[in-house]
Amino acid sequence: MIAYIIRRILYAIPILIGVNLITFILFFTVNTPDDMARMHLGMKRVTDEAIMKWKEERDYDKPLVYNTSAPGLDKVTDTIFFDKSLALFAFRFGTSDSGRDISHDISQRMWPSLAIAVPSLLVGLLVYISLSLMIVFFRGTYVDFWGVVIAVVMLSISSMFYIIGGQYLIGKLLHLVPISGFNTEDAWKFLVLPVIIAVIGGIGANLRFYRTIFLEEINRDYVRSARAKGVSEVRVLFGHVLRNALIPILTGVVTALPLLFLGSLVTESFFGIPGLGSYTIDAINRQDFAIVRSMVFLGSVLYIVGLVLTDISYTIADPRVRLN
Amino acid sequence: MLDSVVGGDSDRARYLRQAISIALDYEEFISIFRNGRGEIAHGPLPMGIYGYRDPESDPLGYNPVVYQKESGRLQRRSIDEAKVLLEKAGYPDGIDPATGKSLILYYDVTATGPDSTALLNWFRKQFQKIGIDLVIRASDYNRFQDKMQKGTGQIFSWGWNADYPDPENFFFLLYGPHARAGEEHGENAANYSNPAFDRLFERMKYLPDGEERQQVIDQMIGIVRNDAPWAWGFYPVDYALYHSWYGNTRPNLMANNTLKYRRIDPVERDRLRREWNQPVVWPVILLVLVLLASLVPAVMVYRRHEKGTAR
Repeated sequence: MIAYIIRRILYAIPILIGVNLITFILFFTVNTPDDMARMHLGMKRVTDEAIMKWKEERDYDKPLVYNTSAPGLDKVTDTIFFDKSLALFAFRFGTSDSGRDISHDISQRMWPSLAIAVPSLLVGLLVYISLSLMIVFFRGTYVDFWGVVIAVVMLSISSMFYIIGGQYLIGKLLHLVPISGFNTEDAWKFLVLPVIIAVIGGIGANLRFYRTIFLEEINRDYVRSARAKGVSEVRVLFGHVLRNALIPILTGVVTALPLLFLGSLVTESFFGIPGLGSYTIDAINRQDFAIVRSMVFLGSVLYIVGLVLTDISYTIADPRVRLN
Repeated sequence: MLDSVVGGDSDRARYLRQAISIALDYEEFISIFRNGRGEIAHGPLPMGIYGYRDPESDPLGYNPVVYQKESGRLQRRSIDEAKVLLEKAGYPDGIDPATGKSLILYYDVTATGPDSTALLNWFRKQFQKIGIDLVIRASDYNRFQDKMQKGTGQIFSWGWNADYPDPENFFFLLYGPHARAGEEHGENAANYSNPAFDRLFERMKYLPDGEERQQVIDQMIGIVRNDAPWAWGFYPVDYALYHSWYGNTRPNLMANNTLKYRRIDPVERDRLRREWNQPVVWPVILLVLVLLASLVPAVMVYRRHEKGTAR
């Protein structure tokens, strides 16, 4: 398995180089450093000197990929591509266009993101799996029928509706929790509503997904054998059906685990949570491409980590799976 | 100011511009289109900027071309006075002697669509008061910018948000070398040029605030009021609602680094938050009870299922 993991990590390198090249082309050739400087300095009366100074302060004054005026190896290393794009492989994110240390910002902002994402995932899994198993238990009855109908209605509604509706009902009308904002001292108050809304917003799609998986398993021979042995239905569902349905569940869940760290762009923006999701949205709004570049790279690294973790989790969930 | 009818330094064009300045009743504009949120401008400098003089209390504060004082109160000059100026300009009752018909002027706008109809009709009505026909030339913003770069626009409306609170940042909009249609493509969109004003501007911008600078500013304002390259329009007034615990701030478009000056009263904020946010718990309890009640039949069905015999 170790050899397999090492091979997967090696496969990841060309993927990351590809992502890096595409983002470099998008961020530096489509949108040149001169354009960035103009956007940051404002469109009114921007002088060439001001643009040069802005670029010099941020090391954007170097050639893009090949520095003809530099000696020896510096021809390649003294370039924007080396400084800004290849440095990302060493997780050196540098400073944002507004002068802040991106690594420091990420280390600060990852915690609020995790504080929303982890409870949302865990509570969500518990709710979705329990509800799905309950519907599977009542399969073929009106509970099953209406459960699916409600799930289809719920997944047809935009997540924005859940957010705004939840803020209005729970925050504004019932005054149970603050509508938005964040405070490290009593963070739970600000996290309850986003977590509840994230869980409710996911019920529709997840209920249908898990129900389908469990229905496939419920009619298998091993389930009939378990029932014939006198195993209780709860144990059949949670002990046998759930365990055998783990592979598709893990595919969805473990892949998403590292991405939890990146936060949710929409949820964090609507609830004013200073996590990495709102960090990225703010950076896009401010046209701070240094942050956007870092977050795109980090996202691709974490996605690859998620895929490797999923493969490993298969071997734990199903002993028949061997990674060669 | 490059236009052959309304532009230029001739007395004819100056009288025409002055007549238009009187006819454009910005008090009415503020009342109709801004719901009263505006202050009449008597020159390029707004209140709060060094060199500004209060039009009500200071004899140099109001624009004598457009206003006069009657029993101590500022009064917009009458349409009859505007017509006299128009006659001096060579357009008696707004008639263009070259055509024998009403003088036609062109107003370049980017505002199109039904929402702008009332605004554009208002402008037409103002010019009609002195017998001038105003033709609206609507174009998209890019085309409008292009006209401005070339100086081919005749009459247009534009605003200015200052970059910093200094008179220089307002007067430079009228500085000749900064003409939009000139080599610099500067911010002097009206392409106004008056050597006397330019000389005073070059002197004023390096002067420290004080008596000398005020005198130079007064002279500059006097020149541009008389030349009337702009109908001075109005200064927009903004309002904002703040909580009672939040203070020492006002909405403004010029200063951005105001965070350090703001004041918050955390005790008052905490008290009001508690007062306003009394939680309403009964719907939550009701929801939990309904959920529990809905579980009862499910549990009963499950127990029956578990206890049932195989068929």
